[in-house]
Amino acid sequence: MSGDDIFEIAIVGSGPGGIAAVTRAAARGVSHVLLERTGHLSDTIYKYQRRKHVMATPDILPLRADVGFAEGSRETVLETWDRGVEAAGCNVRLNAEVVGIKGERGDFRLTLADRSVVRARAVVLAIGLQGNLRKLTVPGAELPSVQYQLDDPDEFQDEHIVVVGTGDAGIENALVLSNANTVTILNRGAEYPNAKPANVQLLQTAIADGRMQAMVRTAPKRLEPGWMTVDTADGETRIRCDRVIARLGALPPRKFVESCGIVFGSDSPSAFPVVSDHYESNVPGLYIIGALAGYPLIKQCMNQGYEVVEYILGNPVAPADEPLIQAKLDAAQPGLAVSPFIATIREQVPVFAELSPLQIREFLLTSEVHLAAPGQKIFERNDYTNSFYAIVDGSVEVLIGEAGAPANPVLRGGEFFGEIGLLSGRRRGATVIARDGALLLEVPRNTMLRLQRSVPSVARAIDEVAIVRVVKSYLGQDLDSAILAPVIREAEIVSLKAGEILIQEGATDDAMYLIRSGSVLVSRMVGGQEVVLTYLAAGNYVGEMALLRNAPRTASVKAAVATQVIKLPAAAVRDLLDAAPELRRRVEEKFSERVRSSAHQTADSESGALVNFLMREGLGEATDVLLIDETLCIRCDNCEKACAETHDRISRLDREAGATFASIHVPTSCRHCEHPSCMKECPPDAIKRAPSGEVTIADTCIGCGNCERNCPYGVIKMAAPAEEKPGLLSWLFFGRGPGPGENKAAKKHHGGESSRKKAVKCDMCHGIEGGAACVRACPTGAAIRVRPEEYVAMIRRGGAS
Amino acid sequence: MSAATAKPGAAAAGKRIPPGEIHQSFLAYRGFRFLKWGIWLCLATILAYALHRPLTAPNGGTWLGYTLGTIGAALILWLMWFGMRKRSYGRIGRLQGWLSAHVYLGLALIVVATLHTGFEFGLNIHTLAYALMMAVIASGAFGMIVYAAVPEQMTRNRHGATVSDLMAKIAALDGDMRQAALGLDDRQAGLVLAAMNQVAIGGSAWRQLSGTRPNCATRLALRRITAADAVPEQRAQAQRVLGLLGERLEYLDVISRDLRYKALMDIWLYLHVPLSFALLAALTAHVVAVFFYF
Amino acid sequence: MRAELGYITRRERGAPARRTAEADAPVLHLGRGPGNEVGLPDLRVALIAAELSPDAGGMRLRATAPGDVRVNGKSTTNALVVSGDEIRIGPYKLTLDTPGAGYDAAIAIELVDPPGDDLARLRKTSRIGLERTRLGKRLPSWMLFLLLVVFGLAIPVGSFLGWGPQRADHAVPKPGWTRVADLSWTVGEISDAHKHFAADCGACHQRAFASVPDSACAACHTGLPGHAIGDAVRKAGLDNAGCGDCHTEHRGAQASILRDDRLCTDCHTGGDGRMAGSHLRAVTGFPDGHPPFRVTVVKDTTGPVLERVDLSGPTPPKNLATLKFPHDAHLKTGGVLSPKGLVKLDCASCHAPDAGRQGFMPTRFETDCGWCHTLKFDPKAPERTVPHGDPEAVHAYLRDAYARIALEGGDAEIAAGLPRLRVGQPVTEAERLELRAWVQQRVDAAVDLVFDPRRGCASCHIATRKGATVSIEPVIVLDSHLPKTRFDHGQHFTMGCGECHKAEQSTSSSDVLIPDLGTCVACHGAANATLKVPSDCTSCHGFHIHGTAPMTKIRQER
Repeated sequence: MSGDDIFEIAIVGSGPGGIAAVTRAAARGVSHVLLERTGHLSDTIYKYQRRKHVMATPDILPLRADVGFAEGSRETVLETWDRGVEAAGCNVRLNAEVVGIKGERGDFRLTLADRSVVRARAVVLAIGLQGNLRKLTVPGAELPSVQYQLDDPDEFQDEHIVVVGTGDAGIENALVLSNANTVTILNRGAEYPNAKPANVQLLQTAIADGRMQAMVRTAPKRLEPGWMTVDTADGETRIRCDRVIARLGALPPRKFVESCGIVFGSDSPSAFPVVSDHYESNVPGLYIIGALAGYPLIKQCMNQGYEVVEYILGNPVAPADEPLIQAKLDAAQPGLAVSPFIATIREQVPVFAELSPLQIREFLLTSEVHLAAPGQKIFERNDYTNSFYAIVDGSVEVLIGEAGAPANPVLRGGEFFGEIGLLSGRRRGATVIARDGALLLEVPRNTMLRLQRSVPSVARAIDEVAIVRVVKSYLGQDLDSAILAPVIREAEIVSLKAGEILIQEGATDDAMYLIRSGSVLVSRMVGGQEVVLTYLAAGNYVGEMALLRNAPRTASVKAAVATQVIKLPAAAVRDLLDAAPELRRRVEEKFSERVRSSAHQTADSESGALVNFLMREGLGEATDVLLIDETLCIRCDNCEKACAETHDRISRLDREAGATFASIHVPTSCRHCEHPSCMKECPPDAIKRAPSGEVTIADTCIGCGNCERNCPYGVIKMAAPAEEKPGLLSWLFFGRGPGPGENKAAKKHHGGESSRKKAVKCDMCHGIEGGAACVRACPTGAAIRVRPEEYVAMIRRGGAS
Repeated sequence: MSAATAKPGAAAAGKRIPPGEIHQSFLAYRGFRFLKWGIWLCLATILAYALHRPLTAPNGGTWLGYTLGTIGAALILWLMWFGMRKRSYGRIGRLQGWLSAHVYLGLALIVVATLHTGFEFGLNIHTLAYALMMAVIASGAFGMIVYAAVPEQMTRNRHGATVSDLMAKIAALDGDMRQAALGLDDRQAGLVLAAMNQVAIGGSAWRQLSGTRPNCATRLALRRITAADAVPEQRAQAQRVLGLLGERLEYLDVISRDLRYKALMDIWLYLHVPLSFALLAALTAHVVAVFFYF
Repeated sequence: MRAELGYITRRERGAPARRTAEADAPVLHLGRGPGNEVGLPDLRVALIAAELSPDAGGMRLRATAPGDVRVNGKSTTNALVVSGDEIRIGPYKLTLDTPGAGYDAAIAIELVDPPGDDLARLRKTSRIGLERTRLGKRLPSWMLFLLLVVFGLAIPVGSFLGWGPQRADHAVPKPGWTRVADLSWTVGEISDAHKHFAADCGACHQRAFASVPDSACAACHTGLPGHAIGDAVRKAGLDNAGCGDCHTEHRGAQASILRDDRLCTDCHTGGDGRMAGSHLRAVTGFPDGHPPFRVTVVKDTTGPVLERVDLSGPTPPKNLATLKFPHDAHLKTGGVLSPKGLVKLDCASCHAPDAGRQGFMPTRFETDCGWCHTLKFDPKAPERTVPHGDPEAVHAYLRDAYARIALEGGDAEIAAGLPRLRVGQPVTEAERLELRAWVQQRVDAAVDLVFDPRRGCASCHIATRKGATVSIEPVIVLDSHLPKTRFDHGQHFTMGCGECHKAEQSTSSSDVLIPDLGTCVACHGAANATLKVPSDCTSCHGFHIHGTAPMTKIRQER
């Protein structure tokens, strides 16, 4: 190919986006070239571990590409693509690293590493983020024993392997290699800030078990065959090293991209280049798709590859998700069109104003659009739903408290609601009904949380409104916004880790705190011992006493679990109370009520100790917990058997494990946390919270084990489906097959997909009539499932223990 | 420092378990509902028996006899169904109620069946069925008493640790002891080694039930090793070993007691169930015999 | 000697690690103790297990404590070892390598038998829970269940179906195990009379799931009379009543008859319609509900015609008596004049208990009356009496008696006035006529005496003179005035006769001296009476009526 030829389209990078683009170009018969830096296609996936399972999410998004792609092993995916590219007769240049792009629409010059130049009328940049792997720079780094990826861990046996890099990739490699090798992982620092907590935990367990060694505050210095010299805090030392696995991350290609004249959205390291609806960057004719444009999912990349070629050819194809979104709109209100609707959202709903149309499309895919008829309930007080609602048009009424409250707040187009449920993880605090034909956008919790994390403006907008709302809902809806303004202006959100002290007994600070999420323990020192007075969940306030009395703190408050509180400075609150006598009266009333009950609670330190124990067991973030009274429990394990029998013969409950205090036993079983840790990193988004509060895992689970590692209470386990077994009677009478709750299976492996382990956990017998099977099957009444608040209240009344 | 619930509606839930029913024993289920049922059944039976004036002496062949016999047989079948119900996990309703009813109606069966016999006993299948029934009830009564008394003792004994935990502790102690005992003389080291080698926990049904560990090597070692025997420079070590052995013995004792409690709660079922099936056969024979030679 | 020691540690994977040390002493001590030059720190090794000293051609290994020391696999206490040898001391393997320069020995030491994972061992050897012992529930359940099904059900049923030894004749005890099988099904003690069949259910229970048929009873109890039956009974649905309705079995040694008034009163209750149209009077119980006694009396001696009369009727019932017997005259407190003088009579003078002492021997003239009522016919010969009985015979007797006197002479008193006959001479015709006339005259005189309507026969009997002879009304004495009941006088022997029978006041033999119900009730109460003699229907009344076939309608016979 001579340098004078000019291609219609040059595609840089042969990842999923590049492959989709080049096959589309080939299908269209446009002259094209695909430039790939390495000697093979799709380097990022090529570097996955052997047989790694590749996901095809989101499921609902249709694939639009000339090559196939389905969930499967790394090998299958790569083979499909290689064949597809070959079959389409694409013009591919391997080992062609692009080092510079110059020019404008109609005439781009792409300089390759070998100084040759490729010319094209349009360029599609699909290089992803993995780009250039960071390399070791120490002497000896060129040795063949140094590698930057791990293809097949089983290749190595009985070697001394040093893993450099403590990100997820490094840790995962080190863990898998430690099965058959002597592995040392080097860490420049002492912590592992770049890895997922679950991976860190696995690593630390492996180190504690002696399966591998970690050297902290250590960096490689020099390499020679069989040995590595390292720098440690105590000086230089030499360790055995047959092989080095260096997982130092990739150099973000920002510098290169900027050198092409492309502008990024911000200076933030996580910022993406600004692209138009048609993936065109600020340089006309230069298009950016895939991870580099902010779309890391394979399916998105492939769709964009297809679409971008169509756009370049001047075919205004609708994005692949268009029909899906259109269907949602049609269901809500016929006549709505996607693009105008997206425009409306950006104009009308300030919280989403800073999102690009593409970002809005993305979250629309998982969201719902409703046209609520007047009077229709959007959600009800005490529901466990936690999606977020934005009002596109129309208005809703928030029914707060008892009937006959002065005036219910009305929210209009552009405002949003449901953010308290989203933030606190608790039940809905109010019922919301539509006033007129309100056009609502319902965003599911996970989508919203992702959005909050990735787009700071969203988080900020929500927090600002949320503070106002929370303050009002705690102090009084009828308060005039003008009076509240100073308080709200000075309010700040304080995040506490579990066990962190918010208020110290005897201290003289006097701020007041509203618990926004999590829960706190209130305790007092009595005779040199800490006596827990009570536990307060989100939706309560603390600290008003010192504020009202101008006295030192009379009790300590500490976070039972990770907790967020809104801090209201004392001065502002005092001013507020002076300005609003009605509010002062209410607060005083509750205050004296609390003083009365506190006297009683101090006397009963035994139940306080029980509360303290329960909180230590994490009940502070639980919404529903299984408790066993060991004075009644006959250890028959019928609860476990019932659980197994009602859930595919796998028990989600370990009765014996778990802590016991004063005969109250907290077995290992899901507590359905307010903010379930298991939900955080679920790739297929299979963990959901039902409106009635249960946290459940759907069948779409891929068995990655993230939830198992993330759960602080060890209630999730990975289990292969248990074997079918003969009926109960044939066991009862003839001992055939495993009995109730027994699972002799899992020894036989059927092979293939069906035997893949999936995550299982308590679903509170969701969908099973009669409620939790463990409780129903308890013959002695020892096992109960309760909400911790109820239980604590019961203890306080002397109803239990 | 605290609090007032800003959302009064939060307490509106709790529909699953009525207040006050939290951790309620099966014996007290629903305010002793089935105890009351049992008492009513007994009273009704006794009253009918007292008012009954059959042509012959009271026996199973009078109309009251047949009635009580039918009630008794139906009760026995229903009581035996408990074994199935206990394992029918999909059923609605709480097993606790069934156990409560099982216990109290099972006890009421004593009155119903005894009055069914009209106090006529002999060396035959009929009295055998009665005797088996009484044996089943007696074993059940034992179970009931054990269920009521033992769980608390068991909890107190273990202090929240599981047998697994205790075994891990013993294993850890053994590891320490391997080091600590290195300096002891050969006789004492042999005793320590023997204590560690005798690791079996539990064992035969009798051992578990009695909670005994005959020839416990740990106890023996503890008795035979004295710090005074050791050469002066080893005394500290011997004392440390003794401390470890003492701790080991304590854990072993806790485990033995725990197993004993568990065995006590289980053992009666090994009588209750086979006797129930014997009763089922005898009851069938009894009914067939009565109608066969009508 | 100077030795270089290499402690080798193998990990599960990867190359072995080697830690080196050295020892320098004239004699190397090997053992777990800290003082040894070669430390073998494992509890299974003796404090000082062995010593190694230089020796010609190699080193001398001496075991210094009891325990297992092996050289190249052979147990030893003293051996010469050279490079390449392998020494085992307890769990340790010591390999002698070729020493480097400056060393006398090189020993590679490896713990080849590590103590292992204590916890894993503990878990593996522990047996926790009864379910892991030999106790089981399923097997014992099955065994007991099957045992009882076989012995409690199959064998007894089989015995009935004809398995095992049987017998042809119920009169001999049933043989073998079938006896045990049958006994095991017995619902209660069998009555003494039927003990013979106690081990042979089939003797009575002839069909399965059916009650004992009457034929089974009748096989032995042949010709047992039954109870009244008639249209009324049939209407009451009682014609298929069986033995078992009143007779129970398996209710103890003595209890084969149900003694419950309700068994009778449910039919004999009158009023309720069950026996509607019957002549039977309602009996609803005893004593209350029992009708007054009804006695059988003779209404007409021809036939004779009997009739049943209420004792408590407006007039006392009269028995048409043909014997004149005023009880009062005989029971006079002053006694009666008899040939033996004044004699005090009582009931027993005439009424002697019968052999069973239930009733009495019939009263006979010869034994009970004749000693007083002598049948003299000639005042001149008071010792002579006529026979009691047929008047013709009396007449004949008289003729014979006087004829013989006339012919043979003899009795001077009687013979006075007779012609004297000469001995050895034939009686002349004249003499014969004279004698005949005398005899006739004497017989007539005697007949007049005997058959006098106011004396002689007629003093007791109703006699009608017809010329030379009389006809005497036959004497009808009923066995019982209460044929529907049985009264055991023997049971009442402690009582005086007069307490029930008012004979002293009876002036006529037509008086019925049967006491009324009230007399019984004075002592007898209901079946459940506690202060009186408990009496049920069967105390007095029998179901089976003697002389009639079971359940026949006895009234039809008349």
